[in-house]
Amino acid sequence: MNEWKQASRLAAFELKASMKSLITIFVFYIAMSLLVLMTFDLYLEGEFRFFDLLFLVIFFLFPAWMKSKEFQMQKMDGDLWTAPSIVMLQQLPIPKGVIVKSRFVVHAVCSFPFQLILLISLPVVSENFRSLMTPVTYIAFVLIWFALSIAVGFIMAASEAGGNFKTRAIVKSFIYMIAGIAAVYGLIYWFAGNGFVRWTMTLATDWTWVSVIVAIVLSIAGWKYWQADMRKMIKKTDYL
Amino acid sequence: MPAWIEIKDARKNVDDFQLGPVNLEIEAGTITALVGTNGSGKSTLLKLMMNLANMDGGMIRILGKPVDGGDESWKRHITFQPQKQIGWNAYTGNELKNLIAPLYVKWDDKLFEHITGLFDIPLNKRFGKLSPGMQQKLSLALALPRKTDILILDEPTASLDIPSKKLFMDLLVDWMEPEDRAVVLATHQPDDLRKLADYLFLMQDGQGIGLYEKDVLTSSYRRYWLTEMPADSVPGELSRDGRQLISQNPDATEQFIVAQNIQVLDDQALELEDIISLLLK
Repeated sequence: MNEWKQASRLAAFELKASMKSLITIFVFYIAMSLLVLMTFDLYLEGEFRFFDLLFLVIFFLFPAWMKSKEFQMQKMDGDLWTAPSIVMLQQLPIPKGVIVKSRFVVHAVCSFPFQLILLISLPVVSENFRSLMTPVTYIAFVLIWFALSIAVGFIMAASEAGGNFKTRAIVKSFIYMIAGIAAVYGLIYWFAGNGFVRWTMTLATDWTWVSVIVAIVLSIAGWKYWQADMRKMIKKTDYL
Repeated sequence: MPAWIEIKDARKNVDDFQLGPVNLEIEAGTITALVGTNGSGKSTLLKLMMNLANMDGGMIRILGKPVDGGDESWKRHITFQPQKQIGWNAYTGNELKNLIAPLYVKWDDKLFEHITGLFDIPLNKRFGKLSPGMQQKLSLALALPRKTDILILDEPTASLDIPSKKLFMDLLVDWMEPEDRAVVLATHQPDDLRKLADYLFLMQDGQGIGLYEKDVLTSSYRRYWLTEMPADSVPGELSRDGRQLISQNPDATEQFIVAQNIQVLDDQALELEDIISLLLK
């Protein structure tokens, strides 16, 4: 608990230092996201398949982009890629566990409120969504997306540990990532006959309680796994 | 009493560059300067001491604790000021102080105010917007008041103007006085070496050439202008140029010269820079 307190203190410094740009970018992203959400009804009617991709980008990547440039992952000297805060905090008497937790607090503050606004906006902008979901299934739907936010989205926080990568390796892993997303995207369409967002709605309505339990388990596992992974990466990386 | 910093066979490969094996011990109450040509591995060695990179072999202990172990409490006793501060740009001086000060039990607020006043540092300006010299002054103002047992400085005066350099040296000397502390600094500045260092650890191409006591080193090298240069090699002779001789053993050289009835027109101790240049040849 004490570690979380220390981590929150460090996170507060970073958030305060980037507050101005954070609020500006937050407002801009919300406006852009709401524009995209206007097409949600079209998507639910099966007429706009591209919505899935846009929603996933907005949901998972915007929170990471929201941070000001000084706090984002970047190329440092040599082949080191990392967030500058990681280097700074390691030079101070702060245990690695606290550094990791501080990154998670920052990412949570940048992502959860934004994602909550997106999820609350769905029933507001879409009549089809309202007719398909009950209050209970809607809660299950929200939990599924928060579980995904942690299990998938927090890879962005964990990756701030960085590493010593050659440009070639980065391009290669980027290609693999795009291919992986495309494969998952294609498979879901092939199996479920619908897009990813629509599929999570089906999960929430047809397997409500299973979805809730799986979402909670996934959230806890993702939260713990990415912290352990980040700690491992910090230990492995040469911050030269 | 064991050394405060013990470096044993520390090795690190970075691309084509190979550091080490380096062996060095830093005692309490000393200022040790790491001296070497560019790319000799000084900064890499300092970063290994801070466990910012993994060693390929060997070990480093700070106050008896291995830096790459699970116990990170040694970090509370050490201040590291790198050549270039990373991650500070978005913060003002005041914010940095508020972030750093509570992490150190002996933080001296009065000293911080004294240094910021002395250097006239604007504390409401973001670090990234300050000139390199002012950034260095702010880094020092945030380093010394931590009052840790060990202070590691990488090129602390590289961007400072001449008056500020003098102020910094006075501050560091005052800082060393009240209790047992140890300073390790990497520097290219002759003034830093002359006025601050007790020991010099010379490095070249990633290797430690040796640890020298500064005063012993400066008294061990002498230049002589002779009436005539003996044909044979002179005891202690390091180099000769016309009738000018450099010796690394003045006692033996002088005895020989007297015995040979050669007169010394003039003699002079070698400047520290000249000695270092000779050792790093």
